[in-house]
Amino acid sequence: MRKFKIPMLFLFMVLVITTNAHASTKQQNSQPIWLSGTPPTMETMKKLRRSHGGYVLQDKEGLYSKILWLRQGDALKKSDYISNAEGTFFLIDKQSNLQQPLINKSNDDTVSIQFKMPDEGYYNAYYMQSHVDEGVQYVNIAKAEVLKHSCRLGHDFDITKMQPQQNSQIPLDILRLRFDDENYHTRFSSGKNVLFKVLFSGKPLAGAEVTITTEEGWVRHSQSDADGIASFNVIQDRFKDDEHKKEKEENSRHPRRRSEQFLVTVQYKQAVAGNYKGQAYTSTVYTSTFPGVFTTPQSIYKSSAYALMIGSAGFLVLGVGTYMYRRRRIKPFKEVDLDE
Amino acid sequence: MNKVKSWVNNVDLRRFRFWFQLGSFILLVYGGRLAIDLGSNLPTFSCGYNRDNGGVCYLLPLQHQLAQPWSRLFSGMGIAVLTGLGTFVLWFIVINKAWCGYVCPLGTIQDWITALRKKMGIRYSTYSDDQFQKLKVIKYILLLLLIFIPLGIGGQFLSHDMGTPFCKICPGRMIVPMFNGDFSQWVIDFASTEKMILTALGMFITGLFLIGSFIKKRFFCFFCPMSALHYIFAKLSPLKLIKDGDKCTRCGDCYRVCDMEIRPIADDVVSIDILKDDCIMCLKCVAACPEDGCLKVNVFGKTVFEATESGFKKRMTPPAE
Repeated sequence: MRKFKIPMLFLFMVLVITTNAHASTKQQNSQPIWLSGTPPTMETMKKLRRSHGGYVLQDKEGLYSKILWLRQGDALKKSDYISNAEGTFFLIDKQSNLQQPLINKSNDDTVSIQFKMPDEGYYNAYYMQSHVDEGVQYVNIAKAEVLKHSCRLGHDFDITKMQPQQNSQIPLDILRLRFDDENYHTRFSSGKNVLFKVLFSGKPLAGAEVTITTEEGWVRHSQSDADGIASFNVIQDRFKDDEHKKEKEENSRHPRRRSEQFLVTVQYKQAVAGNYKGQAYTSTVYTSTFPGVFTTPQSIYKSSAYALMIGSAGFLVLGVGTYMYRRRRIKPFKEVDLDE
Repeated sequence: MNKVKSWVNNVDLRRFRFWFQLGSFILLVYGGRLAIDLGSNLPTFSCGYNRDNGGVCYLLPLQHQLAQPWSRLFSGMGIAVLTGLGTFVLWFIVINKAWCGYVCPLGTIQDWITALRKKMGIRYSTYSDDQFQKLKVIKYILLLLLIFIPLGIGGQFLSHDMGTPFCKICPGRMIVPMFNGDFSQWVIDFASTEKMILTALGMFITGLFLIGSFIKKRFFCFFCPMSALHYIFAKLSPLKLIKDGDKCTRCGDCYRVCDMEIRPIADDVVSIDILKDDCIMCLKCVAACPEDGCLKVNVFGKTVFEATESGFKKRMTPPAE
């Protein structure tokens, strides 16, 4: 009886491990991969400086370099930094040239890419990874659109430099369409309607399910229209009271004005059979991600009414003060009669 | 040649200045709409917050640059700061402090408000000599603050929310964009205590500016740190305001027309280069002087405009009805 029990236990353990591994692979397939500009450690953050396009590394000549880390998971703040990147990174520069960015594998088990940004405008970085599982090919594409702008270089805001770049080499691509009168200082804030265009092999993809997830966990789904455009009206999901609590927790200096990350994900399934690295598949699931940042709307922390009140106070103080002073000066002489 | 000289010396300076100021105002406030960009080191209040500006006031990039971390500021970045300062000085020396009297949009707005007061028949105010001496120090204090506060930010002693401190309190930030229909700067920013205090101070000063320039000619120019910065480099300019003390009768006409109430223009008969720190080089003193060659404007030692008796008479004679 005892002899029989041991192989049974072994078989059970193998079964559990296999099931877990299978579940883990499934989970891996469902968790989006994305490129993040947030450094994994405070030590790394201290080496960077803030710019209009997020954190950058600045060399002695003042040239900006961007570092992007590969992360996985849609809980944006808690997403893991990936330590093992099997796919390929590439960069589309300002002249629409495909480039290979520098890949860093650091001691803190993270993979990041680094690229220089000599010209003003938007740079597009991509990470693409494929694998086949149970006859389905999974293609994960992580994209980051990075802005380079320095106020020192002026503000001609050339509209042609600001347009999103389209590249047909990306199987499933997401473009953020620009707001009317957008410039490099424009902040995307909650309450605004933001449009994303989904392209499949360079052509607009209609009917694709596009999802936006915010750092606080707000999720919204939308379907792309005939032009491949999906629109979202992003809510405000951080409030004053929460911010005060967070301020104490994080020792933040900006209780009323904060930026929050969002992630746009689009998935598209194509029933075309093929072969990838010797593994046959019957269909392909493409998942593409596009991270970004939105802020608290200015109307929450800026007040014109108070401004007018204080401006009027200044106006009245000096106006009435001068009037009274002049009145006193022109008061006719009055003789004082003393009662002796 | 003498004809040209006489024509210049007899010029109706008030009219010339009005059109020059209007042209400069259009260039700096609306220049962006005409694709004009004179850079970001202009020695005048061409406000960077005005989206259609034709160039940007140097104080904005200066404060930005000085707020860089010290490690960067005192290495490669320092060259950028010096380059900016050099460009500012090159712009400045072209017309010296006439940037204030002829180009500054905020100065022009004050002159227009003064013209409105005159039309309404309301008398203007003046400072006593004692008040004048005390008030003129404020611009140097503001200049020091706009240099040391950004340096404190770069050294991590002060919050980044105190960045560009002078711009936050400058009425130009509220007033100049207004001419492009932009009132977005008319707000109190409650994002942090520092921003709230600075923007509230800015709005209060804007209120003071509007009424102050109505009752006092060039009210804000007494406190302007740009004027203080100008004076540091004024000696480098080839354009000079010259006085020949031997010809001065101390009639006081020059002092009476001076918007800035600069007393030495009448009292000082010793100095040759008579440009003072508060001077806006409007040249009203030269136009109001009745003594031939007593006050003059020289460029590289050559006189381009001078006081003449005939010019004085022409300007002071009321137009025939």
